[in-house]
Amino acid sequence: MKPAGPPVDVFTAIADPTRRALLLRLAHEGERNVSELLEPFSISQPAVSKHLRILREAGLVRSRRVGREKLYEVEASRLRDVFDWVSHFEKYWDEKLDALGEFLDRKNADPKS
Amino acid sequence: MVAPKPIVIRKKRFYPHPPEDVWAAITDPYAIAEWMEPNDHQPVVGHKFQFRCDPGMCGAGITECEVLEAEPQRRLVWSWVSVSKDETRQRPLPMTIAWTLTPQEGGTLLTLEHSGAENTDWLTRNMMRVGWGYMMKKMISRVLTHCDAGEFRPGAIPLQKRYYTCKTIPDNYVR
Repeated sequence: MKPAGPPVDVFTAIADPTRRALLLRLAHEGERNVSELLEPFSISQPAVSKHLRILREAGLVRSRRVGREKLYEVEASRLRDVFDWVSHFEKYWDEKLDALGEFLDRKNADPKS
Repeated sequence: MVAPKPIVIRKKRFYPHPPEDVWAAITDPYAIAEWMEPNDHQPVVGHKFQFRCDPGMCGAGITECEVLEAEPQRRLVWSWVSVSKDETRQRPLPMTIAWTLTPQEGGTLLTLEHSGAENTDWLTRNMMRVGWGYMMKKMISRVLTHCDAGEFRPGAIPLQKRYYTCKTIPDNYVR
């Protein structure tokens, strides 16, 4: 079952390598504000903020205000749901492709069958 | 401790390009820099090389690799260790990235097998799963538009469009 639906498609959200790197950083380092996240980037703060907004709309990160700053954090359980679904789906297709490959190999070896 | 169950990530993609061009796309360090990260790759068995980007985005920013197999236009295998940002942490067990090229009518089937994926945490593993898919679908396809007669012509993906930055990368890494 596909995880239920915030407005931004999660797969679109995680397709982008910058957003994947952001997610990994937040997952490994915990809560961060935008300027901490900006640190290794050459891209602008508005660009990072836009990526964070997409991740938030996809339900993959959440933010909270502490005084004047906004802290971002991953939605770990949602990420897990998404990837459980992805790996289940991929396993299904990998098995189908393997089965098709074997069928074609047999067919090539013995054209009469 | 019980050894974790082996996990292999598999991806396949057909490209309407001859094996010599697909081989160039996955071996030429300039081509790899465009779809992956700055590197000092050479398709020579035993060659030790690294992928580098600025630390922060991708952990320590260093992936240590070695070419385990290199059969031109057929198969390329790398060992793969992401170096931890935290130097006190134990070095992770290596993973293996195997590329197989199969000539087909009108092009080449490229197969990726990423094994040892159980040696990394579930989130990194799944990010890599998605990442390989995106690279094979979007990035390598784009790099292939700049490959001809087994030669790669840089400029398929301009530096400013790549996700990594190169402020701390030594000059001997191709970017």
